[in-house]
Amino acid sequence: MSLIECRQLTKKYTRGDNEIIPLDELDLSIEAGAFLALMGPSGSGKTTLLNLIAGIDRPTAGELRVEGTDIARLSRSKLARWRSTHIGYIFQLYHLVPVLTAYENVELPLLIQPISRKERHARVAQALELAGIADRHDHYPRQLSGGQEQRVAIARSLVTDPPILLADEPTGDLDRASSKAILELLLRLNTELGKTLIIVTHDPTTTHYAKETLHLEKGRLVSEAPPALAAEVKSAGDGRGERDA
Amino acid sequence: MRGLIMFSVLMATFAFAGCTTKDSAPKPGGAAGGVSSGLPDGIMLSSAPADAKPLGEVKKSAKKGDKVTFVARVGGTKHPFVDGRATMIVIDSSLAACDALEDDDCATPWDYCCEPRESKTANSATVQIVGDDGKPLALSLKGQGGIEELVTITVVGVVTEKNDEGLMVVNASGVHVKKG
Amino acid sequence: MRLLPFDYATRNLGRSPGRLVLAVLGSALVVLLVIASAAFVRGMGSSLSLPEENSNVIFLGAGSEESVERSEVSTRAAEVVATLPSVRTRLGERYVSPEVHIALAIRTEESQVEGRLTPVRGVRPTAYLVHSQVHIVGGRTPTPGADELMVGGLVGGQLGVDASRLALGKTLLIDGRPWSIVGHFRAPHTVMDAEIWMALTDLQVVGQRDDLSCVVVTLDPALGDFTDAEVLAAQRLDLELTAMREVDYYGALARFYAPIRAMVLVTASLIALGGILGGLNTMVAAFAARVREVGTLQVLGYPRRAIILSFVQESVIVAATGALIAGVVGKLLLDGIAVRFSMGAFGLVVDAPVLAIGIAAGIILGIVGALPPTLRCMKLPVGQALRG
Repeated sequence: MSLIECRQLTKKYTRGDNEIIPLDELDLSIEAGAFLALMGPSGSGKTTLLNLIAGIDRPTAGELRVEGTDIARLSRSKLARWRSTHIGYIFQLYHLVPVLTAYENVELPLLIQPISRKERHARVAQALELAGIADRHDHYPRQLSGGQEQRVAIARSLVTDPPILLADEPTGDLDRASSKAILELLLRLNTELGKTLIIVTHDPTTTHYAKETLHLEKGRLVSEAPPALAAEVKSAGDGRGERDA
Repeated sequence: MRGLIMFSVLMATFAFAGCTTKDSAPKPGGAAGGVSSGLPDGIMLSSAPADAKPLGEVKKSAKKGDKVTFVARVGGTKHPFVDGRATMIVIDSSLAACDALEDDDCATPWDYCCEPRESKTANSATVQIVGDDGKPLALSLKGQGGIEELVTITVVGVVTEKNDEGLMVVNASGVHVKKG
Repeated sequence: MRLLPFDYATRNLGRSPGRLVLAVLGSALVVLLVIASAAFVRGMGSSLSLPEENSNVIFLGAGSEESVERSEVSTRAAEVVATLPSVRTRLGERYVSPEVHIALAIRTEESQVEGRLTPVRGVRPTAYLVHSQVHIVGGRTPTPGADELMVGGLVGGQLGVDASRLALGKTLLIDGRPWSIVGHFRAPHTVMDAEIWMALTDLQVVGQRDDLSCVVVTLDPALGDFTDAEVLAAQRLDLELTAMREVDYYGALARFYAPIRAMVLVTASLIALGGILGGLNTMVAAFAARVREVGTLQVLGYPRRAIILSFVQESVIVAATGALIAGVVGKLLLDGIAVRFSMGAFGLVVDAPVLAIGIAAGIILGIVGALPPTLRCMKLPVGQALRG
């Protein structure tokens, strides 16, 4: 069985009189060790899919199994616990806690794990090392560059050793050089540590690193990027990625 | 801050000045009505002595040592009974208790607050039931044989204290309570 | 439960020092108000209550049970009362204090305005035996016939003048006539603290009366009890007396003033409520700016309860700090301040129970202030919060 299985996965909600369907009966299987880039125009359902896999959001219909667990059926508190061991989440804007140092930010997810202080220290140090930001461990987010902040955020997502890393536009707020470095880091996590990576992106360079690229449009998978989308992807690649609604 | 406190105090003083306090009605105490407990036998009389005169009249002429028989009502002060002592204050029946007046909502009508003080003093007496030591018995008269504020009683006894300023203490040997 | 470290709450407070200072001062203000109200109620209550072991009996004129200032008792009555066998005696001195109580318009020499009504008590030396709470803290007792008087600790507040105006040797004017201050006394937590005392005969002259307001005696429990005093009053109808336990007399006064206390409490509650609502407003703004953080923490696996608790911790720390400041300020500035009311004045009392009420109010303020905005914050779906 695949690591992640989506069957007829649907998400609907109404805003005013309009019914919005970000995901429409999506079928998708993702194997362990995959490095998947999800692309598509704004509102195509990329982030929705990511949030469903992360257990942040719940599907309206269909089935979503991760490692065989039907996560839609977990209670909110069980889901929170499940998420803390299975999912590492990387945000476009890093979402570091400004009053905590890099070290403390990385430590945060471990504080709710039943492990000793010593082991916690070892794992934080290791995650910072892996993310290549160990030398900045006592810096506060405001003292770091965007690329460095994202490295701290990646270390934070790694520290609980989850099998799945989800990233929502991880390079969307970075310059070209930093983007490249971050993508290389993510690739290394995939190849060397065997993490399954799913990245929502507008950045076409991501596809050079990903093993597979999927295009979403109006909540469904499309086999290839239509010409219009390709153009948008090209223009977005140079600058900031557009946020997915 | 201070202003606020001052303001509240001022308002409350205005709002409550002149109010009569109604929480001072005597608490029911003593033995239950109709039952005389602790009193010497024969004190509570079953029939009224025939030769009784109004208290006011008796008081005018009585001297220390006189044997007297008079009719009066329990009252003349806010607390006519002493809690725990066989002592009570009575007043001549011709004076008007406050509840005899129209439109009066007095909570303690037996204090005769509408009568001038001199008139009350001139028409009141202290009635006590004493033991062998000459002191009032250690029990409350309220409730004994139906004795309550404003009931009419006939007292037979001896004047033990008397002066012209209003003092008159009677050691009772018999008390009859008028029913109804 | 898996909790966020306490540090997290404290460090978050440092994020915006300006807002922190405002929040602390705001809660300090609310708590100070609560403390002031509690100090008022407690000060008034304690000035009208006496120690349980008090065995004083006040003989008042019959019919004047509510107010000693309206009461009239003949000098002869005082002599009769003095013969009560159960009166305490020490070294041949009987604890019988005949007194005159009159409220007089009093002003300082420097003051040009009309004097304020102040309770004045005319006493004999036995008054100091009967009223054991009175301590002479400076000078001496007034000599009869020498136009001298003695002032209680709250008289300055009562007259609205600085203590220096009431120093020994200064002069107070009664009806334009000068009286020199020869003594200072304290009688904390009693109505006497706001009084002026002078010789009984002097006050009788000032008040143009030849009778007394009351006779206060101290009974010796070994010799008899209150009932003896009641019997005496009941027997001596010619003296037109009523006997009351001093405790009951002040108890009745306290009941009379209960509505004021209620009003103060209601006013304080309303203002505290306003404070809480104002605080809520600030908190809503402060927490709304942190929805994304709340979302992130949830993604990292923190249960909602842990996040709510951490936010409440923050708010309680702020409110408790404010409460501590208010406690110190209250103790230093409010304790002992004189509050005038119709029968004189009493001092605000800021003691341990009052401070405890203040701190408790602060903590409640912290919890109540933080919960609604936090819960509102939590309502947002995580996905939406992350984008927020």
